[in-house]
Amino acid sequence: MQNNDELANLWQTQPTQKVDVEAVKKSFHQETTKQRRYFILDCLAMLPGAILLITYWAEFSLLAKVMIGGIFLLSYPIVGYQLWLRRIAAFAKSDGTNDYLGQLSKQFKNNIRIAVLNKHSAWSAALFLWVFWAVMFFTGELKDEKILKTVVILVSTTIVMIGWYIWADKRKQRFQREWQALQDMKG
Amino acid sequence: MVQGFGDVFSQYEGLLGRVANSYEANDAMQQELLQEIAVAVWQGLSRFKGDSSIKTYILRIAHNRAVTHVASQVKRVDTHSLDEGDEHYPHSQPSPETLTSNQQSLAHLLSAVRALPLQQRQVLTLSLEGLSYDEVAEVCGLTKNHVGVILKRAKAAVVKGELNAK
Repeated sequence: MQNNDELANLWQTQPTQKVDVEAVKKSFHQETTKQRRYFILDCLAMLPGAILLITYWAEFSLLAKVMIGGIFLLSYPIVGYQLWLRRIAAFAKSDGTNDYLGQLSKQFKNNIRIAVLNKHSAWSAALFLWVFWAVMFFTGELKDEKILKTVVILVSTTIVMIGWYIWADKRKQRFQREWQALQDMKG
Repeated sequence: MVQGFGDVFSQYEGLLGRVANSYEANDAMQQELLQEIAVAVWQGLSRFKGDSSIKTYILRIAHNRAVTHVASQVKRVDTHSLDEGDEHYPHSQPSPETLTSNQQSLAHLLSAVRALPLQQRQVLTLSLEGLSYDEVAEVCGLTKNHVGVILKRAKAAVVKGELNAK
């Protein structure tokens, strides 16, 4: 077996790939644009619901207002928890590779929690909508001429939520595999 | 203070390529990882304050990026196992006997390095790049003594791996 210098010399002889500088520049700009797009999407995601609420708030009965207000109050701690889970990815600063390994491991764990949160919020959001409109129907607040339109919206939303549930579950499984791979590599 | 992207890559391309090789065995995956490392280094260069050498700074970025890459490639089969790609190293020595011997030694070394636990792999490869104990400690965020212990274990494991391979 070689001594340290021989080992280092052997190490240095290995052929390496070339960096495609143009591809790096392109990828760098794409990544920046993608992150900006995500940020804008995150901000805009709350907008349609807020506009609908502001527009139709006066038309809602007290019961509807209580139900919507309740779900909004419940959603704030959930959003807060999700932001707290994202803090490592957003604000982490590692002092070395060892520190980074710990942070990455934590981030994978948090990503699993975020995916679980998304998964359960998908079915609970769909369930809330069905319950909400069922209550509106049985209390007579849902007018006959709007029933068909409401059912179409509910079915469409449920289909979207099923897709969201499947997507979140796949993400959960992916992050679990990544976390496990990291543990295996750490040895 | 901060070197340009082009200067850094012309100077450290080989170094970054060897980091990629220590995590990925497959040629295509090595290229993909090297590109990812290059993007991460470019992003990181703007934050470089000059309180360490540029070499240790980009090595830290490269290893961190590589770990993320390898963990995220878990769906792909054999991303960092030894494959036929390791047998493709070009001949660069005059004697055919020496060539074969060097190729085999290099393939065994890379295989043994990739089989190491992450921390040992990082410490050993940084040492093989000529970093001092202090510099390795700085890149990894470890104490100098800890680096010494890990390096000793890593070398022992590589020797054992090479002997088993022969």
